[in-house]
Amino acid sequence: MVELKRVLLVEDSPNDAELTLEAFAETGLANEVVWVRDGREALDYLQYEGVFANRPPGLPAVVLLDLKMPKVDGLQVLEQVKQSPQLKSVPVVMLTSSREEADLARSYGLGVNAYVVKPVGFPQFVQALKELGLFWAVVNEPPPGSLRRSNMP
Amino acid sequence: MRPLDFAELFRLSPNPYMVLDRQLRYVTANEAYLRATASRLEDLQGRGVFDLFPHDPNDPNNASVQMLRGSLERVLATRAADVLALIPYRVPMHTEQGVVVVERFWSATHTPLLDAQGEVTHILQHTVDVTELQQLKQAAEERQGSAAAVAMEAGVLGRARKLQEANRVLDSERRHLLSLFQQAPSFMAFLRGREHVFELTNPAYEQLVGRRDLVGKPVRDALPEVVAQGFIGLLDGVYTSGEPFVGRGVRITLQRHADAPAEEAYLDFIYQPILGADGKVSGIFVQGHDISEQKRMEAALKESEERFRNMADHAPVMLWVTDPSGSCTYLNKSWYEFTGQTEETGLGFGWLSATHPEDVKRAQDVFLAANAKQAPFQLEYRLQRKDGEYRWAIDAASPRFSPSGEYLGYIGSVIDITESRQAAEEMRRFNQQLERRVQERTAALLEANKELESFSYSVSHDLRAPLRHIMGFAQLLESRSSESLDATGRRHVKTIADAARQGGKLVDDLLDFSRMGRTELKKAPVSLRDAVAEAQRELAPEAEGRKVQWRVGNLPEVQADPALLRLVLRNLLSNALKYSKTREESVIEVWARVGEEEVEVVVRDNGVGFEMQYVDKLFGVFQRLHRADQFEGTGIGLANVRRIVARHGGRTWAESEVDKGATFHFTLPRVELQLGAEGAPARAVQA
Repeated sequence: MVELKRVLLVEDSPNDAELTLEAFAETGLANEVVWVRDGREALDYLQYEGVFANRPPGLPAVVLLDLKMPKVDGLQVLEQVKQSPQLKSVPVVMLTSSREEADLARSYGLGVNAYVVKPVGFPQFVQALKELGLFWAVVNEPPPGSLRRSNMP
Repeated sequence: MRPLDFAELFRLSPNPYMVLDRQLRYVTANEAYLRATASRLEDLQGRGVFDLFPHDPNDPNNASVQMLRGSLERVLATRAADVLALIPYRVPMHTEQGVVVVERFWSATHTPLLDAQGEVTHILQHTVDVTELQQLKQAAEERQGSAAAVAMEAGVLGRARKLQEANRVLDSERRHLLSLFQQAPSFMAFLRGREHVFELTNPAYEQLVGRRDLVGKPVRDALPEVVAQGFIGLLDGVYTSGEPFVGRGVRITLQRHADAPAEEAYLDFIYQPILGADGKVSGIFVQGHDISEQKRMEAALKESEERFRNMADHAPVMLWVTDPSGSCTYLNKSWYEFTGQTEETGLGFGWLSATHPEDVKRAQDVFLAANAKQAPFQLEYRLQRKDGEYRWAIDAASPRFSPSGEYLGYIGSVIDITESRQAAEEMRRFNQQLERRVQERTAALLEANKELESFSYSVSHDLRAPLRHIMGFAQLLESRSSESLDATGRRHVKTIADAARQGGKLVDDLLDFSRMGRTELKKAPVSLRDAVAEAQRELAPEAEGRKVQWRVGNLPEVQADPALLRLVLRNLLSNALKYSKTREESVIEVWARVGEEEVEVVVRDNGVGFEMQYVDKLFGVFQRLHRADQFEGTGIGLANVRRIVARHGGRTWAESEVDKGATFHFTLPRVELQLGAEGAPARAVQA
């Protein structure tokens, strides 16, 4: 049985996080979703720091990154991820309600892999996640040398 | 019988004859003439009569020559014979001592020889030497009428006929003189006797005094107004002294018309006493010119000169005049008052001593260079005011030329521009301040814009999120828990979801609208036809299941931002579709009018229309003329249309009648337009 890689969801709004998790459930993708509340936590998770110093090893299949967050915002996380030799291969998807062009341009400038404006309608959101999930978690080959292990404690 | 040989007759005639041409050169002369003048024919021919016989070589214009020349010229002028009864003339003569020049007395007749046209070609002179007769006469007069003289008179009788002839000629001469007298431009009159009785007046004189019937009247009666002016006294003086009187610019007042005021005139004239045969004054010849007009002009000139000097002196600017050498010949009062200079210190090159030491050389160079070129110039320099302060002045001058084009120097003006220089300086400072303020404002505006953007940003983010949550959870409730809700509950859930969706759409539209004002226009050539076709494709879902007739006319290419133009058309066509949905068949027309300066695009539908009294609200943000339960919409579409068109430099307007459809117009400035195929018919497409 193929062990599925985790999805890292970086989202400060509990409502959005719950809807995203619900949508994930709707899509039928079985990947485990790790939810962190801000950019600082996201970086800690990715770099095994702070509360995540002893987390099971392995890079996520995809990082779903909210743009506007307290402490360290999405663009800063994206920048650090894409500048780090260890992390830059991790696909990052900007999940945000913003439709501002500046964000779009800056995100692509920083090397984002995809950018999804969360549709107001839930079904459309589910549809969008489905496409993302299929693409990143199933179609994408994991980078060579990455371990396939269960991360469930 | 042998015909007469006139040439021989001429040659042998005992009287002296000679012939002159029109230039008074000898053509021929007979032997008697050659004898009388001790000449040879070959020496005379082709030479002028006065060159050969000047009478007095030291006085080429002596009286005898004048008499002879006068007679010959009269013949040329009148084409009639002319007689000189007695003329003293020196000619060379054969004497025992050889040839000597002797003064003789002659009587001469000059006869014109005419050609077929009656023009004088030659003059024939016939002379008689009357020297002895003249000498006898003089001798007789000396002896006071002796018998010899009486005897001699008989000899003179032979000349009587000649003299009669001469009188006739004199008479015609007098008539000629009289006509000259009548036509002379100067006024003339002859006054006879002690009472100065008018004997002759010419028209010029009559015009001067304004009366015609003067002859026979004494001056004092004919011109009573001149008596008191002293003219009678002058005439009396001339008459008694025999000395002429010359008047220059003499004022006279004349009563030319009885019922008009007396008029003033100025005269240059002469009272010339005329002596009778007895050597006594017999009358006075009056001759002169009316110089009133000259006087008036002189006075006017003097007055205008005075006026200009007065004007110049009181002009509120400093004025100066130089001569061709550059030396100043006039300065007006303003100059003297400003500089405190006097004529002594100011005229000539005195202005340089009032010029700031640092500016003197430059000012002098500019002035002298301009003066050499006789060109206008302008100069800014510091001029010392009488209180010692140096003031900035602008000196502007134009060259002066006489009517004949001769350079006369400059006329120039000097204006104290210290204040205006300060004002300009202040203006510059003020402008800098303004500039700074504009920069501050611009910065503030940019700041405000930034704030607006971050506001939009947070609205976009923060407002959309709760709406999304409401909707998401409502939908979750619907899909997961609908069986635990009753019908009312399910209706509420649906309402919540609809309301949230409408809110989300509003937020999106509003953000689009605010972005519209901020984004840069990227103009390019766009085919209106393609843009309309694309909008039709995008709107196909809305037209689905309806009868829609599209009538698309000729549409040109325009210069616009392609994405924004498409948005405009999509909005207008979407409205046309939306508001005609209640019709059995929607008819939507799109066409364009290409004008001189702009392209007008028209979109017409056959829908429900609107009331014209609300037309102003139509293009406002969130302005809706229909209830949401009739027609959906956020009220931002037309606001966007107006904003986009305005940013392209175009106009938007609409007209409608309730239930009669609506027509929307917008224009785009015209740049290089090309219509499609000429006369291509509008297509009707059944959707």
